[in-house]
Amino acid sequence: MKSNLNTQKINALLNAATAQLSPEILDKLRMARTRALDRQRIRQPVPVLAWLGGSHSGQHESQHFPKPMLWLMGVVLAASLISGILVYRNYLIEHEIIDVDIAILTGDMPINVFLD
Amino acid sequence: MKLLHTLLHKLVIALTLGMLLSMPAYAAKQIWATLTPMQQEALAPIAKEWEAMPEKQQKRLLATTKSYAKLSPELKQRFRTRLTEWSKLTPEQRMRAREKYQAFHKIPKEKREEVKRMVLQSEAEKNAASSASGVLITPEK
Repeated sequence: MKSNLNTQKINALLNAATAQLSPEILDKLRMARTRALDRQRIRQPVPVLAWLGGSHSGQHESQHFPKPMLWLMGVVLAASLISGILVYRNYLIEHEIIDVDIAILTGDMPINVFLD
Repeated sequence: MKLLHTLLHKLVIALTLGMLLSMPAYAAKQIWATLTPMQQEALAPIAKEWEAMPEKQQKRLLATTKSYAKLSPELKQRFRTRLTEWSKLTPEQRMRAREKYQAFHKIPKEKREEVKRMVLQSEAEKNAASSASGVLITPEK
């Protein structure tokens, strides 16, 4: 029995065995294969949104977000982006103000020159 | 629905974290005793007024003390001398002064130097006049 089995021989053996299976069993195997492939597809991380928690549930609907949810996510992302820009802008303005304050407090010109 | 809850939960956490991270911008008032020795040295002229100052002004003054440490002794002295006058100004006056300072630094360097010379000369004359009158007035007191 210790003959040299290569992939081609195994393939041939499996094909021969499959030919002997009843159509009912073949259908069940095909369905099981399809289900397994579907689950495999779902478990693949969805870029960007993968961290939001939808990709590991194993449920089919996790791949398709409901429209209101997409809108909500879009609004939240836009709000975060805008608030981030505003915070950064404020930070830059505040830095500039402090730089000018130091320059006024230590510069050659007296303060009253810059007062009305 | 479970996904919606999970998503909303994560969004709430993310937003809360974001708000917490931006909290230092709205930090509470600083008590004089909690300032570092360097901060206290820089802000000594306004020590008495410190507690009554608005948080925003405190925050800005504290930020200026970061540069104070790197200044020469002469500039440190100048900083402290001007600090009293500066902190007595209204926020609007300070903002106007900043605008004028920035406008002044936008004019060509040659012109700026000329104005600077004129101003410094006028200040020197004023100081000389006041000290001269001080000498005259003092004996009469």
